[in-house]
Amino acid sequence: MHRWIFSAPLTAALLMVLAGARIVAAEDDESTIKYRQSIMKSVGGHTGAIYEIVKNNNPNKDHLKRHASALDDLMGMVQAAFKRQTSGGKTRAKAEIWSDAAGFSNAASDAEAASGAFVAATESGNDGEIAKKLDELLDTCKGCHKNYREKKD
Amino acid sequence: MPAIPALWQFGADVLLLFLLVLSGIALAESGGTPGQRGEYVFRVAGCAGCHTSKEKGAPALAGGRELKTQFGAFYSPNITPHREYGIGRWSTEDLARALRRGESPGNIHLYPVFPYPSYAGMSNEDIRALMAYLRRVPESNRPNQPHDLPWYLRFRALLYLWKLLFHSPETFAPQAGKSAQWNRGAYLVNVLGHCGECHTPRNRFGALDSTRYLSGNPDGPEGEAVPNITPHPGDGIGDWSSREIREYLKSGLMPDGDVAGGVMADVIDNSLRYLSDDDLDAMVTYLESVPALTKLRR
Repeated sequence: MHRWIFSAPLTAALLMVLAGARIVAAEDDESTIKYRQSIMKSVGGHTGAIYEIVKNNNPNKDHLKRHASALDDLMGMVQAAFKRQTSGGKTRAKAEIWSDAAGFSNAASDAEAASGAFVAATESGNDGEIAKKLDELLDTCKGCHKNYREKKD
Repeated sequence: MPAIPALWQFGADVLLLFLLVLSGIALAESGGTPGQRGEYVFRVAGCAGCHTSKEKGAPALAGGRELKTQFGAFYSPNITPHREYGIGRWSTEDLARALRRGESPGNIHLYPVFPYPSYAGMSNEDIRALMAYLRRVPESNRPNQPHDLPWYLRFRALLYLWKLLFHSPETFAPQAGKSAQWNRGAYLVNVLGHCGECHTPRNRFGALDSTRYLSGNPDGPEGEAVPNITPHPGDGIGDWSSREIREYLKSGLMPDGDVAGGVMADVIDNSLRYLSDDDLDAMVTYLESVPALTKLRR
């Protein structure tokens, strides 16, 4: 009897802690997803602006280095943003990001290297090289999107 | 006196040079040698994507790529010129029969996971050029892998009935009253590029639902939903400008700066990126002209 009296409040407290932890975990997932989606949207924003300047002769050519540098900074955050595994939520991130962590890391590292090479090309000022490195950078984006992201329906 | 023959000789040389230049221009306009032209057809038809395994270091065109469908898993065959394991014994007519009628030598009916319902429209010229290219690719002795299908789908004779119901092997005929660019686009989208094979929903027998052509497929290959590419403003690509469609086909870049993924990224890498500017424009012209449809919701 005594043991039951002692254990009931303890059990209740334990359940409350577990329930609390569950809520906190759910909130963390939501924040993790929102954070990485914000990073990827920013990547897309700079990529779109860069493409207009490089391929469609948008006159803001003096912005190119700044876009390239900002994009390179963001690319350096991608792996960290995807480090924490989430389950469920409004995301197209595939479970393979974590089940095949080495593959994902290789693909993301390729994209980082390509964004670094693109920055170097913008420093050179050689238009042909800039266009070539942009094509290579877009190829590396596909490297992750092919295998680690659900298709939009 | 010798000046006249010398003049004639000079004239003949100039004429010969002129003819050589003209023939060079003609060859360039027809897409180069048959092998070069065949490589272009091979690229646009997207053969490499399905006929090369995704395993690291897998030999090109030696087959073995798993294609998961609602009917089971198919494994693409070896199409290198190996005489035992590939198509080294095939004639051009054999290739034409496979592409148009879905039959390989020995009257073996092919599953329509090989998109012959679309390839059936290929021109003789393109089939000959494709064969010229396929004869030049490196051989591989990789044996073909049997498909993983339910028992009742292993009877290939059933495919004869399927074809009677759902397949009409007709060579593409340009539509009168439409521009050459539009007709070229129709040929690229509907025949060589076989876009409808993924972007159109299928009926319960696996045949394309032509009433919903290009309006997306919730049960696409590899378990992926495939988007609507009709000009519907909300459900399709009606909000995309001509240039945005063209850039997506060329590089995978979407209007919002996102980049293509999944099977489509492979299609761009293996196929669409090799398209000429004129062919890209033709595809855009045609895609913008098809009926705007809502996507199928499940």
